[in-house]
Amino acid sequence: MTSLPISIRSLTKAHGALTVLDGVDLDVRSGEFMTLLGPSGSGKTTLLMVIAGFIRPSSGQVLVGDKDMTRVPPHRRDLGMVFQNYALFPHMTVGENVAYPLKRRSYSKAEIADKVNAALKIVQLEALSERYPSQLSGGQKQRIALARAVSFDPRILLMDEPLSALDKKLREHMQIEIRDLHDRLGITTIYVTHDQREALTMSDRIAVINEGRIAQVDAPAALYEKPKNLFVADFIGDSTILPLHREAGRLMLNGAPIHPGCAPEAIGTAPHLVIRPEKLEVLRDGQLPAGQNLIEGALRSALFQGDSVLVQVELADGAVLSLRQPGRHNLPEPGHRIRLGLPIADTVVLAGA
Amino acid sequence: MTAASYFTGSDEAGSAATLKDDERRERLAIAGLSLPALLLVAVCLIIPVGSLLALSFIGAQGNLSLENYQRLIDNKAYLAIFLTTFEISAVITLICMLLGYPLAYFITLLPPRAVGFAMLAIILPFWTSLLVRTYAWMVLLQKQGLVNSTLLKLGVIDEPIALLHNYAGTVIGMSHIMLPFLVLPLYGAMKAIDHDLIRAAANLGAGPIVRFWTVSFPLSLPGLGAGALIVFVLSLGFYVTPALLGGGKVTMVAMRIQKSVALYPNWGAASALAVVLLVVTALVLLLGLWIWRRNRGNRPVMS
Repeated sequence: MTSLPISIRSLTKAHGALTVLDGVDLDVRSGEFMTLLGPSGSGKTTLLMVIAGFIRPSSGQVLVGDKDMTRVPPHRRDLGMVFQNYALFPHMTVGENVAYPLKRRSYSKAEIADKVNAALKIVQLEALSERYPSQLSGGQKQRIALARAVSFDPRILLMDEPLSALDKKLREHMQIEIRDLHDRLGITTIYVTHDQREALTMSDRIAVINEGRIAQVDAPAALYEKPKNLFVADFIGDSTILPLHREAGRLMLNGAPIHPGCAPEAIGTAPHLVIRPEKLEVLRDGQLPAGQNLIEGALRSALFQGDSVLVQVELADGAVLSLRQPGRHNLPEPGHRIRLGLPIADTVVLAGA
Repeated sequence: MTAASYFTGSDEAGSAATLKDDERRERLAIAGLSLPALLLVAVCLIIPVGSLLALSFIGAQGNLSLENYQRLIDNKAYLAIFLTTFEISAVITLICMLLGYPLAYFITLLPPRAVGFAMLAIILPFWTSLLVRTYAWMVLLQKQGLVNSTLLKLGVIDEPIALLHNYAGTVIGMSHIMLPFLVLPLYGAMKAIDHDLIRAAANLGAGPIVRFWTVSFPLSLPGLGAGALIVFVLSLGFYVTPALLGGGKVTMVAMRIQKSVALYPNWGAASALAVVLLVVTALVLLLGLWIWRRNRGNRPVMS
């Protein structure tokens, strides 16, 4: 199967005064798993619908390969799509559902039967071909929708929050299964979700979308470790974000200096410190390893959460930051002073809005 | 605290027996609440239909007899009346389907505010008396009526055509009156079709026409079937409109029943006709129900 790259160029969609997409540029590489991640109302689903051809953009272009698709009607775009509620045809059997796209193309009866079988085999549900969608479980419907979307060897696969209706365990299982399917077929995939963990688990790259604009496009680890702006820092992971002050060219938190992981001049106005809870280390009295920033406060609470202990520390100015560590070791009594070390390499400082 | 005392607020023994008492009291309350409705059904439905059934088995001499039914079989005119009734009902159902389907589909495509207006236009005739609507058709369809004069002016016809007091008039008037009964359930069924299904069909390579025939149309069939069944069954027993617009040239069962009562004061004959019509209508409804059940069995639609 040949997969194709997708290029979105200065795409804008406005409904009257409301701008849903605001000059979006995005390049998806051939065979890449790209996730559009954003809060609800951010425009991520609208972007997917424009790519699928269901929504006409106000301006801009959608290119698949080197072909301009912007004005091509949806039924001539040759994209597979998995809908949020599966959109299986209730009056057709599983087999008829999967055969539907094949019947619209010039395949012989024997070829259709072969391709339906092959698609059902991919999702390991060959046995269900005579069933009706209402006789399937949520996970089975999900797999059939996936089989239908890839049965006609589309060049691109689009998915609109396909796992949101499933329970947590099944969702995590399907995340791995979908990623595995993508790897086997090597098909360019655009996946929409509002679940950051899902995006981090599945994607080659993630495009974080906020208010109709792309906030950052990066690989999951880069997005998590090196967010480029406060929106991404806040949206991905459980960060504590604290405002910093500038004194004589140095960045200060409650009167203590903070050495950022990047050049301080690059930060601009209104600097903020972004702290990931697992990057902090509890230090013993008098200890300060080289290459760490020191943050001092008072222990407020330590909550056991099964796999880790969530520690809340109150700083001098009343701000509260969270850290996570495997056990209760090194922790003082609640209300007592606690010293925390943050590696300078992990000290992310970003400009405020 | 036991479960019973938890609900009643008392700390008395919540044994299995008291719980059972609570349940019995609750059931009695529900039965008591439904009593007025049951009485209404008994007085307004069971007693009249029962007495009708009884009347149909009483002969001219006041004796118990099957003569009323025997006459229906012997006199071929009755068979003709039944056939006419079925034919007209079938024709009207067909016309309503042909007119109502595009109409209902069109309404689903309207923006929300226009939908309200369209629905009002469909329901509005229900607020007008059936008699008034029928007389309105008489005004429109008569020799010097709006329809004939317009056609004459346009030069489509050279002399007025007979649209009133015949088969054509009956069919036109009845179709108009029956149309909402088809459009309303059909529109409901069309509205319930998940728009993502149409999008999915497009995404999978189906153009607009193929999308309609493979997805929209099959999914609207239950609504079309329900509407057609209502129209057919209502047409079977229709009296006012065919009596006024048919001009005596079209005889349906309900009109023959009226004649038996008013002209010959023969309650037995009228009752027998009514009972046969009732049974036939019930059979049609059962057939519809059976087809619906069978299709649902094949293609479950609950999600």
